[in-house]
Amino acid sequence: MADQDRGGTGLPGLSGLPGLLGAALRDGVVDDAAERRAVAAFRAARDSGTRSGKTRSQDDWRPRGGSGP
Amino acid sequence: MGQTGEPRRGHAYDGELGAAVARAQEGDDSAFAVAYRIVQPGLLGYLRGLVGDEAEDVAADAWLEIARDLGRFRGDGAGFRGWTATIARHRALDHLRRQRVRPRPATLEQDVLELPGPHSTHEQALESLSTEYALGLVRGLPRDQAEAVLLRVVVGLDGPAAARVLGKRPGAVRTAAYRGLKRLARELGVREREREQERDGDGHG
Repeated sequence: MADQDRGGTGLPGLSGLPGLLGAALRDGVVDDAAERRAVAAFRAARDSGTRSGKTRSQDDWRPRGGSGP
Repeated sequence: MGQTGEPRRGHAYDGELGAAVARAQEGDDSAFAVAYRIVQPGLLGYLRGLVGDEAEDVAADAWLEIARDLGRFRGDGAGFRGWTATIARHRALDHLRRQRVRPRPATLEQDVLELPGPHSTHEQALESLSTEYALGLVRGLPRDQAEAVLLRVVVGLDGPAAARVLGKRPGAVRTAAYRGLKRLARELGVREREREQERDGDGHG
């Protein structure tokens, strides 16, 4: 059976709702101009060398587990 | 809690996203564009839920920060979703703080009442659910529930990641997402019934 509960929310009786809601709200259209501005900002940061900062705790999203920190 | 080894973490694109982010961190601008295209729809959906029509502007601010701080980021594709959602959330909260000084007219409520058609169940209603309609429903939720729902089902974060973005315990976020979705399902049902009654008793004004 198809399970559209992509977030694994485990909602009895609501299994289709998260998937349908997600699809409706991610309408998937990416604005080209906005993308170009983001990429231009990336290039500017790269070329000015400001991109390399120190990783702060809020920047560390590596999965935890395994052998621990 | 404690299920760190969850095999299904968010999206099917997370492998591709992680690879793109790694290449972007080495300076590849086309890889950064790939990451942008994967992340932006979910991020924009989340921001629309928080700031409505200003979402594009807030997203643009967030991407400037993402581009600038990319070198600091550590993690995989799923982690990148969480990291970018956190940045976008901070920009949205800044925006809302500024907006409190000059309140905007609430127009979303009217859109919410524009139902897509005669349906008997929420799933049927949602099959043809427009972005505006879905957004109106979510924005009608209490903020904690709306954010939990958006981060889980629109951004595609798992429970612990959504909790980290919100600075809350995973249990609290799970409960908020559950309550939010339940309420949405109920509201869809109620609105459908009202719609049907309106149709049956047409002429009451």
